[in-house]
Amino acid sequence: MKKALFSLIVGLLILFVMLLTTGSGSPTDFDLFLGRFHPALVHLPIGILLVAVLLEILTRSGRFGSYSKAVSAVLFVGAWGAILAAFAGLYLAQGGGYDDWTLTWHKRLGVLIAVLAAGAYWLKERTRNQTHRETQNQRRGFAAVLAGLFLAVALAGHLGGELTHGEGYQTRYMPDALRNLAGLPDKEDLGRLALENPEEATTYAALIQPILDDRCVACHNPNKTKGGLLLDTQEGLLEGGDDGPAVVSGRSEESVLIQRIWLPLAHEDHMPPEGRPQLTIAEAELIRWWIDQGASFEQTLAEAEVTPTVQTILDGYGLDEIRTGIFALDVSPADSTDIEALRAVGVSVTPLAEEEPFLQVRCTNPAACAGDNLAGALQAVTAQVAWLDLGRTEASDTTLEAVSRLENLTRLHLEQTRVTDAGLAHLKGLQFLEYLNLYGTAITDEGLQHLTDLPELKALYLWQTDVTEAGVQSLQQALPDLDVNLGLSLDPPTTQASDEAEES
Amino acid sequence: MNLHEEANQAHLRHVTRRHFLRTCTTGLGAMALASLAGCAPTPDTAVRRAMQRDVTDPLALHPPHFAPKAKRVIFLHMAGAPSQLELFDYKPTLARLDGERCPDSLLEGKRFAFIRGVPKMLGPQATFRQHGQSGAWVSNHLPHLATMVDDVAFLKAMYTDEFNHAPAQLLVHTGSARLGRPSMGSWVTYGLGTENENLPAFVVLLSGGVAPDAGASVYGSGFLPTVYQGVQCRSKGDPVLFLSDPDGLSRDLRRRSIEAINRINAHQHQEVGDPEILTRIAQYEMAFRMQTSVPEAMDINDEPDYIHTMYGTAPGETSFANNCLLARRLVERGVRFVQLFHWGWDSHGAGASEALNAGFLDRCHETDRPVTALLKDLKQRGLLDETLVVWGGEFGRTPMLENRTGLDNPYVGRDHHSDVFTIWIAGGGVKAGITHGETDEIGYTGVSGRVHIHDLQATILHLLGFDHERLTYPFQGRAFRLTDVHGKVVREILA
Repeated sequence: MKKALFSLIVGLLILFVMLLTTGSGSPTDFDLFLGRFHPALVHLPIGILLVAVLLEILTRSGRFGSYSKAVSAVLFVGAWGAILAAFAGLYLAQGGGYDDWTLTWHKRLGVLIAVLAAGAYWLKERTRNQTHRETQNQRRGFAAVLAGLFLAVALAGHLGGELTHGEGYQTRYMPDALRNLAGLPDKEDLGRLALENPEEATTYAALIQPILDDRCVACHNPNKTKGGLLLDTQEGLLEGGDDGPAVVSGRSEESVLIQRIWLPLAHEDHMPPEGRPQLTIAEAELIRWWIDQGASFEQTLAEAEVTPTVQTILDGYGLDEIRTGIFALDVSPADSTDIEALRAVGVSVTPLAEEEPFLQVRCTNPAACAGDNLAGALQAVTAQVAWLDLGRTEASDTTLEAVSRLENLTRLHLEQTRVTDAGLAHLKGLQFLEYLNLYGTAITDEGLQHLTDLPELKALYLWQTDVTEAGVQSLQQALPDLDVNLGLSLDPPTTQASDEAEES
Repeated sequence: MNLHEEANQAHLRHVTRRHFLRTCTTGLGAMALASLAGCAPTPDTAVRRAMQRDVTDPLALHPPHFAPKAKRVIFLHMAGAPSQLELFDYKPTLARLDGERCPDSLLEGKRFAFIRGVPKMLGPQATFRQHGQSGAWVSNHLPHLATMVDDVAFLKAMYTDEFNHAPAQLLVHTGSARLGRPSMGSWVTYGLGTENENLPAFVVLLSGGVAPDAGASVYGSGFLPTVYQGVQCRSKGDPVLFLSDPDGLSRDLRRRSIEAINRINAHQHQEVGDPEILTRIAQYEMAFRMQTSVPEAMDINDEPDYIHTMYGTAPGETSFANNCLLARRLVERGVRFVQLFHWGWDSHGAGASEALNAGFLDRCHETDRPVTALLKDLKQRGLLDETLVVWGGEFGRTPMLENRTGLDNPYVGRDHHSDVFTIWIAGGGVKAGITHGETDEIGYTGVSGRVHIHDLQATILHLLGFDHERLTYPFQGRAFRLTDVHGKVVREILA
């Protein structure tokens, strides 16, 4: 018995020394080899120690008094198992890449279990060897130690689970009803990126820094600045580390940050180091994309040029397509009575989409769209009408007066109507107008003057009008992105021979 | 009453109120538990959509899932499958290999419709040049279209699952190679309704002398209500069969007889309450309206001469050119989906009409001008921004010569090929002047940017404002959709 107790004390002493001296340093391969026995070793002592607790309970319940002798033997084996598991665990911890708080407490609890198990063994042996019967205090003391042991095993096990499977692993697949009781969000909202204001969020703040925080900052922060590199702030990224700047704006392939991520996992310079949580492909792709976009700290998501790959990734984050133009506005849906009033005039009214407040209005009765009725009915939905089709109707300049109040209009059909140059003056304030169809009207160059202040105008149709090339050119000086169509003819195709003559 | 019904009724007579309550309470309890636990079923969007519908007005306008880029579609189906290697997919290496025996490695594990044994390679039967700002390759067979390449997105690595005409055509239009599914036009009109209640929402125009191999199923409504099926209109004779009044029946008399029939139907509906009767009433009304509006829309005599010259049309004929002009007139009037079929592209080389150096050239000549005119005309009217134009066959053709008879034959041709073909798409929401997808150096298979038929369908629906996974219809116990369980939007071609 003495020898057995002595061996446990020696084991515990070594364990203490290790706990105090080792941090998460740079372990040798052999250290990690030993460390990886931890999962194999750790489960057996858990079972053995719980059996000890069970045996003690059975003993005390009376019917299984004879089990009493087995308890100390089981505790001895369990204590040694715990010591060995803790040894391996301390080696494994040197590999790093774990959450600090969880790891510290997991280590402490692991060692505590070994201590408690050894202590319980000692108490049990002492009562077994004494001549008199076990006293009430001894019974209570032993029970308390076993209860502590049980609690420590449960807690250390849970923390071990968090280290291996990540934080919140226990509640990850909990039914939503239970999750809600625990004050957790629904499962499907996990992994979603909740941006309060997607229009103003910068790509860097919304997407890039969170990845760096997750994957890099544990080793690249003011307290622990590996390689002289800080990745917790903009300044740190720009300044770079011992190898120079981490990021070369616009050139991901020359940026050390990306190069290190792309090295093979086993390569010495690969980041994050082997054994630490790695970036996902999507995360690496986002960083690459951000650098190629110019590594800007100010560019907003709406301004960024989203590639199909990045859009796929953003969809995965639950980040819907970035809304721009009128879709970024906060417009309330039109009142159904107002829509009915509009329909009563003789136009068809449909929402642009299921969840949008905007409407498309199409005139189906040529005469109806000329009168004051339409103008009146449009008054109630000035913010909602996005597409208005008055083509081939009797709409005239007076109709356009009502149109001028449709502040969020993006598409306007006025082809083959009686509108004139004077009427176009009403369109001046339409800040979102992208499409304007004026073919087959009496518009001239003069009328185009009124369109120079339409910032979003992309397509203008002027076939069969009196507009000249010169008039179009002067408009395009003001609006270089504008595509103007003056009508197309089908010329006889150029022959191969004449093309070759041109080329030579 | 048959035996089964009788037995069933006898059984039901023994079910007492007690049974009912007992069964119900268990069910209600379970439902309450489910809803408490947050697992209560939410009504399927398809079911909701179906419930919201007004049965008397099945073509009423409906908003799509999200803001659309295009409102209408013109699908130009080159039935028989034109050869991409003679039109868009320029392969100089194949020219060098002309006449060589096809290596075994290309044939291993492949099945062809007609090629047996080891065929010879066949170089491009055309000369190619790059055109426009975008530098797209177009052959000398399509000189007019070459002037519009900057308005078009080419999908050069399309592929399909079928190498025979009928199933491949069904796959293109219904998303399934088997019969019984609704066609794309039916899905779209079901989803969006129509902007012109005096015309059919989904019109089909045929030319080339042969109906599609898969028959009317390529524009059928499958399990959707029949009101969504494509209506075939003819450019010669009565536009819609059985629509005009018989001799001796005046329009006024027709009006009164329809009113009488509708009154009888209304009585019938009051008695039995079958919503299909209301649909029938609505259809009678629509047919009556169409009697005047369809002939007006289909009469191309009122088009000015320069338009006829542009399209190469001649009124009163059944021609692809006339159909292109009709397509423009129809979308101008708010028709949702116009589907054109032009037969004669099946260039096997077994005879003059189906040879790359004979019939194929005629097809190119027949279609080049009208297709280009259609694009230009839509564009100058401002319609191309809101209309999708899709051009393509049901599959592609092999880089190998097909010589079915093995005899010396003045005609050359290629076999069916499901691995790769070219489709182009133009209009609202599509990036103009781009080429997506690439094929290997002999054009045997796609090497990047491959797009399956289901992907194309998903993309078309996306441009119309639909999430192709949510545009569904409940049938036989599950929600069906155009893209079945496949399809991925080709974001690379979205503007």
